[in-house]
Amino acid sequence: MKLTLKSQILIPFLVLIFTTSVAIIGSVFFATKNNINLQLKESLYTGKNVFERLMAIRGDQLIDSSEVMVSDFGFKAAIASSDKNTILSALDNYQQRTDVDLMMIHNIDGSLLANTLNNDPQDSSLSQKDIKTIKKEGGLLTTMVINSTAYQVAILPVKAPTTIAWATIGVAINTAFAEELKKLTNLDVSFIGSNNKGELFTISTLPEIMSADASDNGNDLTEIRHFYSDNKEEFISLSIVIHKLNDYQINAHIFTSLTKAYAQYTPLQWQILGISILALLTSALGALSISKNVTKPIAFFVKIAKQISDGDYTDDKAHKQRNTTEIITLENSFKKMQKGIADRESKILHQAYHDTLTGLPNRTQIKEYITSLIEDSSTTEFTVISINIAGFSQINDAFGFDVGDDFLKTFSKRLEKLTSTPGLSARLSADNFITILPTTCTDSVPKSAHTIQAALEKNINLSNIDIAVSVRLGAASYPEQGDTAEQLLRRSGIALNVAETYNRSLSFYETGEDQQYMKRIRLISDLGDAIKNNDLVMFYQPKIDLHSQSISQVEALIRWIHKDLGFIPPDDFIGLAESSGMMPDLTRWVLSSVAAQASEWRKQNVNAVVAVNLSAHDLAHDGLPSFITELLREHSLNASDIMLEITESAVMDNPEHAIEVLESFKALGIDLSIDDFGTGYSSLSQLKSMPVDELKIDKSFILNLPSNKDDQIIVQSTIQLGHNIGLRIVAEGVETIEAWHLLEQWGCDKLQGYFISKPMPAEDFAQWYAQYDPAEHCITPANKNVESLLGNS
Amino acid sequence: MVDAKGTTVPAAIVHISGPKVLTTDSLPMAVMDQVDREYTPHLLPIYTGQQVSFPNSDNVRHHIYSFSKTKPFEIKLYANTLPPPLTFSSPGEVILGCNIHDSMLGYIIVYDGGKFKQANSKGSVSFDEPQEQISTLTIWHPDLKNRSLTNLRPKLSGSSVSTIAIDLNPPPVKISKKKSGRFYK
Repeated sequence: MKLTLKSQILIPFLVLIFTTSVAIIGSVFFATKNNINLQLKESLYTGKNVFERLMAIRGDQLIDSSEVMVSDFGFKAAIASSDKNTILSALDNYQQRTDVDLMMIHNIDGSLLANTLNNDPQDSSLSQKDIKTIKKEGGLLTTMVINSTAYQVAILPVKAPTTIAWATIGVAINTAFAEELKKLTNLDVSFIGSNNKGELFTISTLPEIMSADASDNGNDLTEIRHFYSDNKEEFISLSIVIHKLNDYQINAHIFTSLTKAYAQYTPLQWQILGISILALLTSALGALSISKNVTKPIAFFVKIAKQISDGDYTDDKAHKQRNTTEIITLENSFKKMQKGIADRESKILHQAYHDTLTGLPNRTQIKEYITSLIEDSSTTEFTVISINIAGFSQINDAFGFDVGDDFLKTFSKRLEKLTSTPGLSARLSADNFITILPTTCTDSVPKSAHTIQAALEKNINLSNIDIAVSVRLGAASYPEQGDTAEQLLRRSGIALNVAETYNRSLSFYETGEDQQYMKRIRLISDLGDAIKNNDLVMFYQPKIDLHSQSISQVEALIRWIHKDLGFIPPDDFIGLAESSGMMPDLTRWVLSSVAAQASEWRKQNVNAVVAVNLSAHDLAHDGLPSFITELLREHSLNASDIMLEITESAVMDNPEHAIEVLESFKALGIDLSIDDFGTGYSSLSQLKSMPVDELKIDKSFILNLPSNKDDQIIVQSTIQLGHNIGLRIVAEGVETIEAWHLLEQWGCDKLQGYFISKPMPAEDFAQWYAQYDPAEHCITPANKNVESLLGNS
Repeated sequence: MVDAKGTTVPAAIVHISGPKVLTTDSLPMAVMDQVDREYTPHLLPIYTGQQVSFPNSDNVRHHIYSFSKTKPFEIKLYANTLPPPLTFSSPGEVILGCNIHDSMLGYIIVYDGGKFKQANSKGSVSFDEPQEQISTLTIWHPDLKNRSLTNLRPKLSGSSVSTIAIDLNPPPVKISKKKSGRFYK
């Protein structure tokens, strides 16, 4: 269950206060009850002590009174007179002096002589036991029950000077005594006398209550007892045995009402209850107000946050409840945040549609713009032109990125100025730009494009450096060459590619280029899979050594049979591999495959050296020498078992570095060959410094050799030149016997071409190699008239 | 004389029967003095008609009295004064007390003839009269259980020395005064 903040604040508050209140009330109730119990018990024990003390004092008083009486000479004389009336009058006289309830005189034998009671008591002789005690102790303090009244009595001998009688004086244990006790102790008191026949008397300050606790039987009289009166009032009581003999017993019970004592505290308990409820209510109100104060601004902030999440950044001025510093701080932070988000969003939005460096629209925005143009019914035609700054990376390399960035900014401003409407130019990537012309290619575009080119290609002066600008343009027009922004952008890019490839300043998109482009895209993605899945195969084309008439070398050529597109020419996919960064993988795959094959062939006694082609990219790849070393070791091959062919153009891209790499191959002991020689403008001095063993004359010079005089001159002189600087010469593209004979006659060292054999799978080559008969091809120049041959062609 | 336990009982008065005293004049004046707040002697046997003088040797007053039926009287005795003597004309015991000093107790035993002697500290007494001449014999002692002058003649043995056992009350205890709780039972 999810709670609102309000209830999350409110509930713990209320629970806390409620618990505290209950705890306080509970403990107060418990404590007061306990305290009352304790106090009352204490008061019972105190009451018992007071009672006993009182009894003792009364006893002392009785004894004192008796002693005074029996010492009185007149009294003694009266007793000695043996005259009953005299004795009675003396007793009356004495009773008036003291405040006693009973006086009796017993003869020395214990029989009653005289008493002050109105009714003569029955059976009130002194027992011999009492007499004995009096004789022994000098007196006796005890209780007597006479005519259903209990008396505390003192019995003393009357001595004149020997004992002549026993004098007894007593005070009644009666209601007055009980009331006096109650006055002193604030406890209720009962006296109960009983003998074996039953109850003799009951005296109580609360007579109606005593029936509940009347029976002493079975109760431990020394313990405090609880009992309930007939009207359910709770009492506690404590008993004191006043007198206990075989014949009768007198007990005092002191007791007090718990219920009444509790009742005294009831107003206090109600008060505390009232205070607690009041506290609970006040706290609840307080908590409510606190939670309101907290939640109200939060609710406001929730509203603001919702607004922000909905993209509304307007400042809500309606809220004025600024009650606490925290809330004010939070509100200010919120406003800052709101403004910050708004600022950043507009910045991000700008960035999303603009290039950060130049401030030109980016691809996204130009695409939207083109789409809007297309959707606008008034638009009839326009042309998208892709622009590339040729050699921009060299500017970065040469002058640094700061200069590069400044260059781009200047270039962008220049581009922006060219278009009449702002926003018609965009930057797509580092050195790729777009601009839109409101015409189609048919008439004015070439002219406009060239105007643009001319404007853009003015030198840019940065930090006193004049930097030359060269641009390539690709154009695609709406609606002829595309009717979506995506299509137009892609196709102008394709046109730009074409312009770059053919080194033209401007190229128009032509129908079908898109398909080629799409095919290339597909091939790039499939090539990776092909390398992984071994869908590529190596074909091998033999080279014949004209000196030994043997197959001394074989060139490994890669073939890709695409599962849908069929045979893909190496020229198509090698370029893709280079441009898509897959070349290192491809080269390693080729080298591994060739090394495995060579190793296999060595076992089959196929001893031709296997030549592998390396591309310009491979030369840039420093790890290759060590990879080859490892490969040779793995397949137990010698360095002389393979050789590497590098195209002349690859070497000429970066001659210094290429020579370095070639040196490292050479150092391994691998023979090197310059492939496609004659197409790459290498100079003689470069050729001389290259650590190569072999030159392979490009097949374009060989294919038409028998019929083309120029080719004949070039080839013949190349052979001579090569030999002169110590290189072997290989001719490829040998397809006719005539070409063979010419080359053999000129001293060419090796031949390669369809006339000898097409490239073939490895198994076929092994078979071919085994069956190879030099005699079939062995046509010595002496037997042939080369001149006539040449003349025939 | 011994008590029930056979212990020697001193100071008892033994009386044997004999002729009545006819002339009181010849009887000497008996003296019951008060010395150090005690009757001296403690027991004073006399004959009927004999005069007893009550001198006061103390320097305090005494107020001697008797509630005995034999001779009830009271005399206020001032220090070093001598009141007129009293004549005890009937036989019996007279218990003397002092109204001022409760502890004072004295006895005057009045016999109307015969012969009496007080036992010595060994509890023995001797008479010159032959046994056959003695018709009655009584013993008096303040603690005697049966305070009657019963004839004890039959208890005499034939020989010149007889031991007579008498039953005594335990001597009265001096009760020291205690407050609170005394006697309380």
